[in-house]
Amino acid sequence: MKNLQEINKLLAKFYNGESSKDDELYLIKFFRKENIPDELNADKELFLYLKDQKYRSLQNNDLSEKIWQNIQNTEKKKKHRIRRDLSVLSGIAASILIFIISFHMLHNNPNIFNNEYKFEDTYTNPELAYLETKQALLYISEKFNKGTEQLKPIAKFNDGIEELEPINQYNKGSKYFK
Amino acid sequence: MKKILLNVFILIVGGVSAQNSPVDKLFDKYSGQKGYTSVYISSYMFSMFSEVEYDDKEMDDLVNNLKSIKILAADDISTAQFKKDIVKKLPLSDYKELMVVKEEGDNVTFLINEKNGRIGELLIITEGENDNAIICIQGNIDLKNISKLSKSVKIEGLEHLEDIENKK
Repeated sequence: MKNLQEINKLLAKFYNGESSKDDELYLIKFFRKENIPDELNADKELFLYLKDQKYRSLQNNDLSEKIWQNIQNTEKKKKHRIRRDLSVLSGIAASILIFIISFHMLHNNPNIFNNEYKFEDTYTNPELAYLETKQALLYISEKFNKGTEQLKPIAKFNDGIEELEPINQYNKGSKYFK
Repeated sequence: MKKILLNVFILIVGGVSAQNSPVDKLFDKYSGQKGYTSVYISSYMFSMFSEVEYDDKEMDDLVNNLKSIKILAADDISTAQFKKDIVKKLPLSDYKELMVVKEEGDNVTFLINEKNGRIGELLIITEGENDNAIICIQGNIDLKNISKLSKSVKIEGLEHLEDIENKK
């Protein structure tokens, strides 16, 4: 706390219009206290009156700073939002691109992810491959026919049953003679 | 959004990898191994068959609808070992058994993988004294065409057999 002499000095500076902002704030703070010497009562009233005005102006200063701050913040937010939107958009675009490329790759070569089971042709000569294929298919065909040949007697049995169909018709007719 | 895309991606990849046949796994494991001979013929090679002029309509009809043929034959391996290595590891419950042909000590089992009324895979397991092998045919398989193939094979002199029958 500065002593009374210094307060008087600051007051003199104030009335001469030489005081700084800090000096004025100091004086305002000083006069807000209750134990003010009587000789300074007049100054006290003046400063208490000024206090409101000063604070208002100080607040106004703050307000302009705040407005400026807000403008800057909004600008920053806008930039940030644009950046965020761009990153989201590029993310979606990349995902779609990956999707399209992978779909295309899968469509053209379904075995792309099955490297483990990707076999190489045993033959490079189509003639040899043809003969091998034919040999395998003939073997299968021969065995298949051997298996199905055993069913032929059943087919013949069916033919026999079909021959009996007229007798069935006769049976249908015979009930009218009863 | 990203999650949805990722899920769709996983579904596609999963769907595609699920197309692998269980036989492929065995084929991959045993091809090139001692005692086994493997043969793989791709759809690309089938398309090259047009360059080989054999003029066999039945064969062309059959091959045009095939994707691949895989043969895994055991050379110096006992039937018991073949059963242990291959047959027991096959998910036989995934297939429908068409028939078993027993002949001269060999058992030939026909298995099919059918979806929506179409045979997509024909698996033949041969076990026995003479042969131990699996043949896997993938594609759109028509059993009628398979049956026709051996009937259409003309062996020189065979037609005279029919004459003998007629003379009886």
